[in-house]
Amino acid sequence: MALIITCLGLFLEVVLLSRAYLRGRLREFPFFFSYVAFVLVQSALRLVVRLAFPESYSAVFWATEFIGVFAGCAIVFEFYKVGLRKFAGVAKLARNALLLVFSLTVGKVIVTALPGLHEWTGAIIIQLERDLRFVQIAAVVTLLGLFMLYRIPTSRAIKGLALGYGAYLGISMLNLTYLDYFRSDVMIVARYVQSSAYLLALAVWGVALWSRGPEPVVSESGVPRYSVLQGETAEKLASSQLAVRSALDS
Amino acid sequence: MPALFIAIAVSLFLILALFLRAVGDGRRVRAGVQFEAEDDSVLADSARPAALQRIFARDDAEFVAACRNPELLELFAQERKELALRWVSRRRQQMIAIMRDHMRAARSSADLELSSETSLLFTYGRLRLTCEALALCIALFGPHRLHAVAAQAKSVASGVRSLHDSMASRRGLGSA
Repeated sequence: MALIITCLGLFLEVVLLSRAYLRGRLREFPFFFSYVAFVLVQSALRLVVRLAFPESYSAVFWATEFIGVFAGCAIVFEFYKVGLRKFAGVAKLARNALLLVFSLTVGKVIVTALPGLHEWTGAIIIQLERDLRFVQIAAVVTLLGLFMLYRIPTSRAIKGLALGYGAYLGISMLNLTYLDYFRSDVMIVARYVQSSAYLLALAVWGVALWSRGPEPVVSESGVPRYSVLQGETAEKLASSQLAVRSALDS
Repeated sequence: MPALFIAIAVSLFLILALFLRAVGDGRRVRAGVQFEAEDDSVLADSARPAALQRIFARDDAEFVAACRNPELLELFAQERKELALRWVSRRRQQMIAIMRDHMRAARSSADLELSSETSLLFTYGRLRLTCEALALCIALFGPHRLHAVAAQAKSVASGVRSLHDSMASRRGLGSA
């Protein structure tokens, strides 16, 4: 079963990368495709180690898994970089919010990793991975919130990136939580769930990036200075407030 | 702690669903707002200060009550309530439109300020909350009793404040 999932994953990754190469889309989403290429190499390496050196598989799995979690930040970065390319204001807000999210959670990661200085156990790795996934979830939620709040027009590719990685992160978080709770009893099931979640993400990305969808039309002609805009909006809101108050006073 | 992580994952799924719905229905939402604005044009008169005063004024309610006709009184209360609720709804739509226009213009502004944006959002949130409270009060008590409810709320708030002040001063005396 595990072999089938791994081979299917490898196949989808190769299809995704070769399709992007043929369509000239590698430069469009460089961080995302670098991540997919990394996972391709990672999965191939794991497969080889599993078949040739089964006794070293566990060590290789956790080492590559850990690097993979860090590499996953590339998708969040791509989502931010490509999605907000034409929206300098929201990009500025996103940068500040992401910096805050990363600073707060890095503290939590350090606290979790401290016991590892004495003894690096599987439980610590699971907790650390879950904390890192938490950072990514916080970053994705922040970005999605800003996209919705400012009604940022999004292309099919960006929607696909967010949906695929978001679903993968959510399933991973649930998986790591019950893995941490039940420990080794559910290790095999947990690995299947994790791999299947990644397959789901690959399928979503495949559909979203298969062909170029229509690019969202952005007509931002003559953007006023922010101070002027803020003043006008504050004035309009104040007049609304006055109207509501006059209803109470009448 | 596991419950927190499960809640985080579930929240992520919900936000993803909302995101897909929001970006997918952009055109439909805009069309909906436009339709509502056209429909509300019949309320243009009621947006004027004089008309507004009549909707919420107690004089008319007192006059109808003096007629001692329960059916008329019921009809009057119903009509006024409907009109007042539509006025609140119109205000709500205006606030949404103000913020929507602001967000649309601000998203490309390179000199956007986080503090000003937060302050605007806070003001908007407070106004929306006031509108919802107003609508709830109108639905429960009717527009002509709004003033009495507001006065009651004000007196309760000032009572709580004076109680808090007296307790704080007592605590101050005790610690001294």
